[in-house]
Amino acid sequence: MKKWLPFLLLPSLLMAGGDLQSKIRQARQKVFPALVHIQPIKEFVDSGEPQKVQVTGSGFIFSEDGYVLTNNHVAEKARFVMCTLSSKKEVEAEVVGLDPWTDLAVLKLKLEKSNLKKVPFARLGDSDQLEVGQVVLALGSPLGLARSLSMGVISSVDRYFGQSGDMTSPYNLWIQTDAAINPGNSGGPLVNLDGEVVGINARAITFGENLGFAIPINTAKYVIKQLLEKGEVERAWIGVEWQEIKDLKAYLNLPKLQGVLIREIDENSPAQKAGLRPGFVVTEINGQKVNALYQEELPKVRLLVSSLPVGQSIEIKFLDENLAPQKVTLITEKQGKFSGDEYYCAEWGFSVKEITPRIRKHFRLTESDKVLISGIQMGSPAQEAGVFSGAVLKKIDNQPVKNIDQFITAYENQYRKDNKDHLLLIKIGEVNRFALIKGKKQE
Amino acid sequence: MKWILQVSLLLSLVSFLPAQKNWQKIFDAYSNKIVTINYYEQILSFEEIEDKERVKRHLTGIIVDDRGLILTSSAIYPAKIEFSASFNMMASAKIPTEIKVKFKNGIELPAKFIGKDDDLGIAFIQLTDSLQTVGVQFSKTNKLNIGQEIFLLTHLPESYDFNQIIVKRRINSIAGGNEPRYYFEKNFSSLTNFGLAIDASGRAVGYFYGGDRPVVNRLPFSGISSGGLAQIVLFNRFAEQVKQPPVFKHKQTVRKKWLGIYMQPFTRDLARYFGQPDLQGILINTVIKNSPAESAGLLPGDVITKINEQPLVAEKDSDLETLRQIIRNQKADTVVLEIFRTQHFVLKKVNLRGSPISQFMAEEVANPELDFSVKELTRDVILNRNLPPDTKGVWVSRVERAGWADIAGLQIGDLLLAINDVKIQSIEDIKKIFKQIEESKPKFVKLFVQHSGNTRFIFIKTNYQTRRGDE
Repeated sequence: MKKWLPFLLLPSLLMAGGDLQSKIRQARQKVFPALVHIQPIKEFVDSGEPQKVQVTGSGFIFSEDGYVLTNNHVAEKARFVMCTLSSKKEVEAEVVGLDPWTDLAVLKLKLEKSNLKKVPFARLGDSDQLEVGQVVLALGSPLGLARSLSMGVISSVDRYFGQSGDMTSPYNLWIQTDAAINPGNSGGPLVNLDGEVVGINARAITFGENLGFAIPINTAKYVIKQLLEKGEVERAWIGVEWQEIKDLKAYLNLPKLQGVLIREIDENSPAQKAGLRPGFVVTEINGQKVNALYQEELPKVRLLVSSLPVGQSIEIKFLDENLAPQKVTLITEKQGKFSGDEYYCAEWGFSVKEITPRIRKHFRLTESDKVLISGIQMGSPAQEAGVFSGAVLKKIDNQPVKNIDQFITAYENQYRKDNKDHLLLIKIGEVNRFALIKGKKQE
Repeated sequence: MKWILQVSLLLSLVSFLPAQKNWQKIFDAYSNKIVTINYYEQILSFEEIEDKERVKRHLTGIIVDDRGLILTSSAIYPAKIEFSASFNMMASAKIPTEIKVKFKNGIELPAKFIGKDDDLGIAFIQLTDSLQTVGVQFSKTNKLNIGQEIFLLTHLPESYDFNQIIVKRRINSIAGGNEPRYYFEKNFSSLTNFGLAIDASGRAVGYFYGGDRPVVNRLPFSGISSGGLAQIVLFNRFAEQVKQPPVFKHKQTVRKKWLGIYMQPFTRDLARYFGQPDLQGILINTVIKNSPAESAGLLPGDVITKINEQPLVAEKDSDLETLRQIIRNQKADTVVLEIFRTQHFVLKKVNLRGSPISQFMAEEVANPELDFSVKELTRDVILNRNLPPDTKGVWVSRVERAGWADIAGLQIGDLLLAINDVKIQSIEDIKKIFKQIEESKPKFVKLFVQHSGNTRFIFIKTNYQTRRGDE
């Protein structure tokens, strides 16, 4: 039988080679009707002032009742989303759920409003089956040029990006492709030759050539399910940052070592309370063995932790500083918000933002820092008083600012209407400054 | 007709002669008292753990006494001795070497670095051979007037062979109250923004220097300066330093006094907000941890109304300088502050201390086998890196380019928390562990570092066991 195999395969190989053109056409035809050109109007606060802007992105319909998958960075902060289907029909959509951690979002087309019952949708493939060299197509609206198609191959299936800035992707590896991807392609599908969506195009390296990156569809499947069920992706948090053990193995001269190295423990986290410390090697989480020899294996570990049940007791087995096997139990917590709510104080002329654990860590703020001044309007009372963007709002009239809700309530009920002088204490690093915002009428 | 022209020409010459004579007289009186100084400055490199490069620089100096003491710009040693919030990383911590003083008659003599005063922007060097010199006799003039003529004597840049240059300018602006600053338009080229200032009657009144920050730009080939405003500092402000020059003794250098607060003007609006429309003073907004101010119990929100019974007034930022100078130049170790706090006046006795050292004075330890250097943590680094105020330890000051540490991912600025699971709290800890590593010659060294807020492990592969040739 084995002898015959090449002969059996030969015709199909020839077919594939000769028929690439028609395969591309077929694949496109399967996905194209589900393609969506998205033009959300975003409202946000910049330089302490509310701003509006219309942006362009891509997306695709994945169910006949009109659910659309796109990137979080396309849909976030959108007050109004207008989608153009491949039929050029314009349909309004609402945001069902956002997941900034994976940069994914689900929208729902308002079909009834446009007198539509059903819409064509794309089938989702299996991104675990992707192979480097496989031909793929990218569809979307690069630079706003709607309904474009580009072709390339899978360049890599396990590209790892470290966590930096707003574009973090802690839970997945990336599909790299040389199919041309430009801004505006964001949220568009990456399709195999069977016409199945295998990835969501999300990033391109603008100073590189043909370096596009897509989120694997299997990551999206999990997110879609959660967003449709709960409107958000609930993740567990234990407060551990991980590091691969490749170098540790060499350092310890233990070729058989398995596990993941703890490189950081967050303050006041379940892990800290349970006594876990940097340097320990975790071998098992809630009954599942973990191992990360290379950093490409870290997202898998983070995903495992994040999908633990929230608020429940779990067991962690690890090797301590003397490599002695130990175990602890800890209670998982719900992961904090990705970014905080922003609030615009029109009368004072600045915007404030809630300090989430992520921001706190990034700017190295303390537990008692709750509200960040995110923008200052030029020529406003706040600017005149010497308030500056990036400072932490600590006190107003000698009363500590305990959280953003408390500030907003006090601002709306009192500060903005009492026309009195208010003394703000703001802080940058370890240095404070008093800023007197003058009321309209002098007493 | 011709003779009229000749007479008028002659007349004009006659009328110019006294002025010319005056210039000549002033030039002759002082030209042998200003000298050029050349020296080498070590160039700091973060990518090499040893300073290998150096650059030759030139400055103008003024002979100030008969024992060979020479006053020059503090640019001769740009590293700050005391901590400050502004963080000039680029200056080398090594004192200038091979200092030579060249007199007007061409004689060149070696000199040594004595010390400097950053507030005044001056430094002192002294001839190494005991030699009788003739110094400038400064007049005790304690005031200059707006529009007053001032002669400035200094040197031209290298391209003009360091020739002496004398120019006449007028005082264009006077700023500040108790200790006025005299500004003039400095729009001529010179070797540096430093030289001798002489009044119209030929009396030396002080030195001039370009602005509050002498030489910010420390690039190797930036010697020439022109344009902008320069300041004249009268003798009464530096007479004491001439009599008893500041002595540089590395960490042991006598430092100016330090209170440890950040402050802001207590404006009329603030006074009204505090319900005390007539109250004047300085508002404390920050009390630095482990500072004399903290020990004395000062708090943010306190208004300092008096220091040693002298009333304080600060309506604008520049007024804060008064208190700063009183503190910095305080002879006594104790001052009494009158504080307005929650509608009451209280007196606070503060025991001042010397200002903390800057990172330039911090001890640096290099490890040529692992290819990186560390420095003890100083307050300026803690402030600049936004670390908790009581952080102890060392930070990575240099990483040899393409060295073992660099390849393993160690970065300049990383806080070094532990080596091979031994906690690092001080520079002494690091010396001990470096010694152990040298003795045990391990294949790998495990570092635990904090890099911009995140901690991680770094494993440095050493070359103890793979010498060149046997790889």
